[in-house]
Amino acid sequence: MLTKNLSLLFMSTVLAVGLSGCASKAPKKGEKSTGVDEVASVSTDGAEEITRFRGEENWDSKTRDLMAQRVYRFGFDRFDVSQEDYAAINAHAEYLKAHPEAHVRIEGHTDEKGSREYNIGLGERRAKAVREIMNAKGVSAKQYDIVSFGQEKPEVVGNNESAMSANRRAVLAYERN
Amino acid sequence: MKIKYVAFWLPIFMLSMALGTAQARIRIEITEGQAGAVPIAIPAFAGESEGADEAQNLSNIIAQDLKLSGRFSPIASSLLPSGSMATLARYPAKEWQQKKVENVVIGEIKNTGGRYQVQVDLLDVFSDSAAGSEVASSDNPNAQAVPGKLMSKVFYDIAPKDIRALGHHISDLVFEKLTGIKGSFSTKIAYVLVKPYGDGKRKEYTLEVSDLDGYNAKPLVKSLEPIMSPSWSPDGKKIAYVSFERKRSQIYVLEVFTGRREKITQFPGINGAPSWSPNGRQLALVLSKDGSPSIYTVDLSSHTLKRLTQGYGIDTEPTWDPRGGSIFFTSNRGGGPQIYRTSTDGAGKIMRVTFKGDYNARPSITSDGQYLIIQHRGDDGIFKIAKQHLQSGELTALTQSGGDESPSLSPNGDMILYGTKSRGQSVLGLVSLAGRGKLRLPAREGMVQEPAWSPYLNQYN
Repeated sequence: MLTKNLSLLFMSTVLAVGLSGCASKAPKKGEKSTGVDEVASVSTDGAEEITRFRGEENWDSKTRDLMAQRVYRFGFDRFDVSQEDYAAINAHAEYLKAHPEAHVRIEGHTDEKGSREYNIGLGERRAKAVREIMNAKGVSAKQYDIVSFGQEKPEVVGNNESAMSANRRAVLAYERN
Repeated sequence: MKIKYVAFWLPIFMLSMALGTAQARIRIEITEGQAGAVPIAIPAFAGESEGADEAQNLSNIIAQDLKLSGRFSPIASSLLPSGSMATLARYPAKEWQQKKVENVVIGEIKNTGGRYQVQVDLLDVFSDSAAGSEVASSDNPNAQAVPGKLMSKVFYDIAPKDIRALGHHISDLVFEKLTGIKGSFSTKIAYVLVKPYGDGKRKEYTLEVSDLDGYNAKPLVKSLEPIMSPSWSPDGKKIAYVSFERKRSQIYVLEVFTGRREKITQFPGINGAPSWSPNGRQLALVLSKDGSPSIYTVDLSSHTLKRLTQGYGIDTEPTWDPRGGSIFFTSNRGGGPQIYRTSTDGAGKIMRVTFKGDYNARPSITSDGQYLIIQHRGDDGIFKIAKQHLQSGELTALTQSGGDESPSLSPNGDMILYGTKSRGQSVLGLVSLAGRGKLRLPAREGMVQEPAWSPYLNQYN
């Protein structure tokens, strides 16, 4: 018997649209690890992303520009953040420090070459490279989670080199729950 | 003469799956000649109405299965004689031999008030002793017209809806009789179907189960975030998989009958690559909660975790040696990804297993423990499915199409399902362990990836 978990789906779909304000809470933690559910059908409950920030109306254009940069590309088989992305990541680190209630998901992604689960491991290294910069800036570990999607969520579909280099990336996704 | 009378019972498993339509969500294309495949004749069964739904055509189902195996090449029924079962049973062996076949499957179906009575014979038309057949002797005094020798005869009484299940069952019998290897046609496959959702920017991921030939597809779980790495329990009742439905990775175990599921892990970082132990009591899996991705086992009743590997590299894709005792896994501890093995108690030394090529991943071991099946990158830079003989270390590529990944062995160890690309779409491929009979199983809609072949499901009979 399939039971649809529609109420959660509905709520999160509604929440996803046009929200303002700041990321508030970390996603639910400490759920029973042995909880038994009926199978959910489409389930998108879980942390939803926000794209507007508390106090952004007071930002200067440079901050606005840096805060808009939330995707960082990586070279083939590379796991170190490009020099040109440090300024943006530092700006996000400053924002997180100034807003202790904000929470960000640091995602790591790979291209489609190779094995899927091994790519989960490689994607995590990209997310951790961004995390190291945050740590060095003194961001609290409570304000981020590391998630690797490996090759499962390509930004560009295709197996040409331009698609693959677009997909080798780390992404900052601010969450509200 | 051996006669089996069997009231054919639909496996309980299939009953629970029967809610979906019989429509195949995957269709089969042959991509390569069946070099080395043995021709076999399966004339249309008497009583099969012409032009009827192909999905209900028993002789087609059997021919398709045998073709899938890569070991047989069924001759088109238009090139074969037709007629009643009695007529075909008397057809001279010499005439069959001229069609280059060694074996013939003949049958008939009688509709008896809403049920089908099915009779099927397997004939040997090659051996010189073909005259020994009881069917033949009385009617054919003429040596020129000696018919084939009867190898097997079976009767069934079934409900019409069970026709495909019966077809796969007969394919199993014929395959085992002719090869000595247990057939894998009455099994299921699990896979992840990926379709555009809404405005097309998002995707819908569905964990599905279907028959090997794509029929009876049944969605088990849907999510708008990725689903990965389905793995069947050894009893075929449960599937472990990875879900990102909360935008974090989590490992679940799903009961295929009931749809109930249990969350096994949701630690910070990676929760990945679940793999059942041969006794069904543990999962091997990957967690990065303590640093780099490492191999752990979790006891499914006590939920006790045990860490098996350490270090700064990526360790992933654990798989159990079917004979127990050790776990094979992918690791880049030596630079690039290669296959290693360790003991299941974590106490033994970690040994490197693969040495040929700069990329070997996603290991599995054949049921006889002889071969390691892997995703391998050749010197040509192309990802393919390969086998490595464990004792000699000899590595043989089985596919060449490129982008081949996620190999999954049939329970008899004779065939491998894998993910591949066709015209930019993710589809499934099928190849025999001997490298024969390359087939493609494209989805009618969306992308299909990460196939997982079920174990034998006979216990449900």
